[in-house]
Formats: sequence, structure tokens, C-alpha cells
Amino acid sequence: MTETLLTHYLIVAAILFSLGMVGFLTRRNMIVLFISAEMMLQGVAINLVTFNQYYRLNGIHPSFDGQIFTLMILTVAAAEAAIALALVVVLFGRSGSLDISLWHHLRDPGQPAVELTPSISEPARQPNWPTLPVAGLAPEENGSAEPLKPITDPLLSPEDKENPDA
Amino acid sequence: MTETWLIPIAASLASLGIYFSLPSRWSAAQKLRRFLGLLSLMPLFLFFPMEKQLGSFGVTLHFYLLATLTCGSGFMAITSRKPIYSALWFGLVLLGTASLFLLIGAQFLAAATIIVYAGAILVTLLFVVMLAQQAGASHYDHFSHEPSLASLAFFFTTWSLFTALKNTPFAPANDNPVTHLSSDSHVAQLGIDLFTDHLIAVELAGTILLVALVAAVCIAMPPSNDKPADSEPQTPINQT
Repeated sequence: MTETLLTHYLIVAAILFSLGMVGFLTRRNMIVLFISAEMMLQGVAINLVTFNQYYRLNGIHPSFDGQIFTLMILTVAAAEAAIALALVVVLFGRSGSLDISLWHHLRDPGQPAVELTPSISEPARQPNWPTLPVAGLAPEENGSAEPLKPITDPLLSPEDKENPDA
Repeated sequence: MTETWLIPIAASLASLGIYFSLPSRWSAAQKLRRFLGLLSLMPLFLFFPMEKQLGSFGVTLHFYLLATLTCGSGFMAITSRKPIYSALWFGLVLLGTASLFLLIGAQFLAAATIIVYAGAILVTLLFVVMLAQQAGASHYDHFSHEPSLASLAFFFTTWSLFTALKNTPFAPANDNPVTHLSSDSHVAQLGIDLFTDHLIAVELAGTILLVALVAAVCIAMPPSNDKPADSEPQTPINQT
């Protein structure tokens, strides 16, 4: 592994890290935010593995510390994925939306409120009512429908009819 | 390596491309803008140092293919409107990263990246997308939070990182590298290192995973309303 290859890898890692940073700063969907954070972790992992292989294969520092550290990053990323996705599910259940800017007012007591620029504020949210199926009987086509009679149960005794709730 | 004064020019080109590719109110020619933004990342590749040989022809070819794949998929992942496309492009980023690991001989980490990231995290991500947002892009996917400031941050980050990379002298490689990648008993040595010198770290990692599992279950569990009065079935009002 040559020094040139080392610099090549570091450049790829730098681009990946910067892209993940931009995604984390701009996007509003919580899932895309999570993906961007993982992409930054990938950039860091490329850095660690590349330096480790470079120094190890060239006999400068013969150890596996960088790769073991990357394994720890992998562990923390898995734990982060579990907790972050559980949070995403809970927040989605509360607000019905994955929009992160619905939660921008969360802060400690005494902190000033941050107002979002109006370009990204919510455009007139409609409440998410359920759509119900149409109930009842459809009128007949030929127009000769009789008015509906109440259904009488022949098994009911007369006193039951007078007091059906008993 | 190319001249130093070219670095801010390439970085500003790339950040302009990112600015115009991010979701915004201006929705005309979206695909064209994203394609141009993808092309605007290419000047950053100018700073690959070219004065020395990268390796054999196969290594060179595969490196450029994989670098293009990784960076391009990363760009597409952060500019996709639909989160499920972002997740799939991120899967390509993971594949590219794992292949890059394999190219420098880090075989175990290549496998671990595929298994842990693409196998576990990405599938969980797709499950969350399926649970939460099945209808493609919502209205908040068509807006960005301060894209101009974020592009400026990209510009300064890449500028500083590339300048640092250009000016940092690394310890030079040996003329005849001791190890060939094929004869390197990599995984065995890594395992020995992991389970002798770093045993406590392994145990701690297992503990972290267990704690994260418990925490995720605690967070995602719905609030329990099992008060004894509420748990009784409601009596009908009209009962005499």
C-alpha cells in the first residue's frame, strides 16, 4: 500500500464526511437525518482503517488498533440505530409526521425560543381524519323502494319488545 | 497534486452544486439539477495525487470506480426526496465502502460492514420507512433547512480538509512492502489482537449493545394504561 493510495482514500473519506454533514444540517426528514449521521460515521471508519492498514503493512506501527476502533464504531452505530429508530417511531406516533422541525421548540426552561424562517414552516396542516366506508342501504334503481321498516324479530316475546334492554 | 489555489474553486463548485440539488421550493428541472450537482463533485477528484503510481492497474481501476460509486451514492442519498430512495442509495454507499476496505486488505471489516450495516441497520431503516412513511415524499421532504448556510459549511469543511491533506507529510511507505495482501494472515491476527489486548473493550461493546436493546424497548413501548378501574370492560349505559 503506497502513500498515494493513502491520500486517495483520505480524500474519499473527506468527501463522504462533508456530504453527510450537509445532509444532517439541511434535511428535515428524521430518517434522512439518521442516514446522514451514518454516512459521516462511514467517512470516519474509512480514515481509521486506511491509516491502520498503511502503518501496519509498511511495518511502521504493527498493530490493529485502528480496525478494532472501527469495530467499536460499528457497535456504537448499531446501538445508535436501535435507539434512534425507536425514537423516530415514538415521535412519529405523537405527531403523525417525520418532520424534525415540528420539534424545534423542545428546549430547557429559560432558553429563548428559536423561530424558524417562514420558508420552512408548515404549510397549513390538515388533520389526518380517517376515511369511513359509506354505511346504510343504497336506494334501489327503479325508484319503487318502500320506506324501510324496522326489523322485527319473531322470537321476541311482546314484553321483550316493550322493554328490549332488560 | 494539483495547485493549492484550485482547492477553494473546486470546493465552491461542489457546494454550489449541492445547494442547487437539495430539496427546495424551486422544483423545476429537478433531475437535471441533481445530475449537474453530481457532476460538480467531480472537480474534487482532481486532488487525487497523481505523481506516483497508485498500484497495479487493477487496483487503480477499481479504486476510481469505487470512489465514484461511493461519493456519487452519498450525494444521491442526501438529495433524494423520498426517504426510501435515500436508504437504498445509502446501501450503495455501504457496498462501496466495504469494497474499498477489501481493496486495501481489511477483509474482516469489509464483511462486518456488510453484515452489520447493510444487513441489520439498513433493513431496520427500511422497516421504519415502511411503518412511518409509505406514501413517498411528504411536503417536508421538498424543503431544506437553511441550504445556503449548509453549503457554506460544506465549502469550508472541504477546503480545510483538502488543504490539510495536501500539506500533511505522512510517513513514507517502504520501498518494498513486507506483506503482500494475499499472504497477510489478517483475520487471525485481528482476532488474536481483539481477544487479548482489547478484551475489556469487547466486553464493554457487548454491554453497550445490551443496554441499547433495553433502552430501545423502553422507548418504543406504548405508555401502559393498566389501571384497575380502566381495565374493566365498560358497562353499557342503557342497562337497567
